[in-house]
Amino acid sequence: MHGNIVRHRLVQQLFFALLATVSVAALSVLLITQAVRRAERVVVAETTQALTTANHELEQQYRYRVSSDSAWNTLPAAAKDVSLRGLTLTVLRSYPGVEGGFYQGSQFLGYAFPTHYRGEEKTDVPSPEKAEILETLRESLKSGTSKETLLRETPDLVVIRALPDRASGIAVWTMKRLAGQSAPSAGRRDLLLAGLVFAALLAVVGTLATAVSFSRGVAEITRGLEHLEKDFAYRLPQRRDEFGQIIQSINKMASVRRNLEERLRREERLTAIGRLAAGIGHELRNPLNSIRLTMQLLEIRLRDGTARQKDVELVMREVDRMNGLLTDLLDLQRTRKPQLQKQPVIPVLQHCIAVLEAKAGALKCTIRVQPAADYEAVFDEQQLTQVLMNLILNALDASPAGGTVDVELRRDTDFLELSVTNPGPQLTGEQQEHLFEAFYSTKPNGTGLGLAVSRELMRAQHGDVYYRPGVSGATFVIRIPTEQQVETNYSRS
Amino acid sequence: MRTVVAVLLAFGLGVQAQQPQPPAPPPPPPPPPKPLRIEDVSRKLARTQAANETAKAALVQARDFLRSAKEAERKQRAFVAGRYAAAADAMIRIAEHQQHLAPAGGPGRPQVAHHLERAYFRLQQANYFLAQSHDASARNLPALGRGFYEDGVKAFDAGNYAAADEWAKCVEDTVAALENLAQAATPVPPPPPPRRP
Repeated sequence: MHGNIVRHRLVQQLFFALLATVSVAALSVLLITQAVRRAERVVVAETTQALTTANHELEQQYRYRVSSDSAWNTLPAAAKDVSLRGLTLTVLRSYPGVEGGFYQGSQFLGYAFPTHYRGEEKTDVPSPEKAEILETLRESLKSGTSKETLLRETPDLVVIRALPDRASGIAVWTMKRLAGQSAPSAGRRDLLLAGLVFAALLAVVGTLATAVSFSRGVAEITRGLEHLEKDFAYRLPQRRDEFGQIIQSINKMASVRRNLEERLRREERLTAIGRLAAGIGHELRNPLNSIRLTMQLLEIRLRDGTARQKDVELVMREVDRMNGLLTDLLDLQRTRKPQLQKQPVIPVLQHCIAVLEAKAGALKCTIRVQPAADYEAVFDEQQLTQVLMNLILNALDASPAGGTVDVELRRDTDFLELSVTNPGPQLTGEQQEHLFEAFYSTKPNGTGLGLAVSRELMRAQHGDVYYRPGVSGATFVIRIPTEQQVETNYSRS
Repeated sequence: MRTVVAVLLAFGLGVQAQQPQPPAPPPPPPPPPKPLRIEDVSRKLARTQAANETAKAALVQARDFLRSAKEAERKQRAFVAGRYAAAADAMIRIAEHQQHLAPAGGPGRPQVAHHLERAYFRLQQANYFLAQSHDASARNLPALGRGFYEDGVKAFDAGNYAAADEWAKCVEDTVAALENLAQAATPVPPPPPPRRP
């Protein structure tokens, strides 16, 4: 279908191009022809002049011939004819294209056409023009003056000229055919001109229409591609021309790409679920093993009567550990909408430091807070506290004994940045790549959920948590928006 | 009274004087040329002396044409006989011109130049007339005419205008002979209708 449309359009364009070329060529020919026609009068005038001269020369030679022969008048017409033909042949040899002779007593005498283009001797008066020649000769003899007749025999123009000699009753005549000089009639010329102008206009309109159609098609595709960049579900509207094929291809490509992305996301989700399941299994198996061993031991000890309170506490602790793990998992999937409020950040920071100072002391580490203005930001106090405590705890765990954890608050245009830096080793590239994935941990006893949960919580508040590589140590940054953000359907990855 | 009579007489005489004269009678038509008779040409040929080789050749040719004229006459083809006789006469004139080649008097340079020009014009018709004559005995005449013309030009360049004029006449007579032969070859005109008694 589209192939046919394209072929049709190509044929249409070729037709218009051909029409334009033919029109221009024909117009040029017409203009040139008209210019030549304007010169027609000049050509006719020159021909008339030549015929007049030839007539006078013929007349002069005739007079001389007659005067030099006393028996001329007694000669029969055939004898006169042969004599005068010799004369005409000689005179008209100097006038290319001119034929002629004499006329006396209703008889043509001495006709000759010495420069006849076929090179053969021509002895008969041209029959197509014979009537006009006779008419011209009779009028000339009647009036006693030279007469001229102009014949338009498409495509030739014929000039006939006669010179009378009333005394002798003879007339001299000559004729010249101007090949291709006859102009078409004014009506036909105007009709031809109108047709050519119409064809030229049609070609121009057709070319313009094609150009506009092309321009619109290109603009439509450009707009569609821009739209497609923003929304891959968008499809370009169909067209019933050659652009329709391109649009169809683009839409097909977009569909394929969308399907591929969908499949990729599904595979990624499945991979994440698998990894999550493996992590959960791994994390739950350890305490379960520990509980099983303790319970077996407790069973023996109960039989022996040596059961200890410590064994029960151990079981309880492992159960608490499993509970904590499940709580973290729930946090990861929790859909509680954050309670966002614009409030100062410093009180949250001070609260976290106060809670964790004892632990820092136990680890022989120091938490150092850089002085900062009491900036305000939009956040959920509880969730920010959870995230900040998580990062400081991680930093304390990563710090060697005697190390200092630096906490700094600073403003960055529309965000506040709360950074926590530990003096421990920097993270490798691979660690950085998987840092925020669930169940990925660099700590021996870590669940690998802390950073993942922290990032989810902050992103729900239009903020973020990320790792910032530095010269030394490892720095994690909490990014908190300073102004209320427009709510969007943020989807958790 | 006398005055009135005088005025009336004078007026009458004046009126009489103003009356148109009757038109003069038209001049009589020129007498028709005498037909050239073979006997006359024969006598002329017998009288003419060849002054040089050219004249001798011309007279030989004249004799041939005269023989053809007599033959035509014998066959009762008067027109053809007349044309051949005219051709023979032209050839005799060529022989006569040879007798006047001596540089004495004659026309002036412009007239001779004009004459030579006319001779050249006539010479251009020689081949056509020869072709129309279908007479093999005349095939040398165009070359003869060209020779006369060249002699005429040479004489003119040498200042011998009288001789040049004679050579020009020779050219014209040569072409005239050919023209007569061509006319002789044209269809014979029908005899005139018999006169009513």
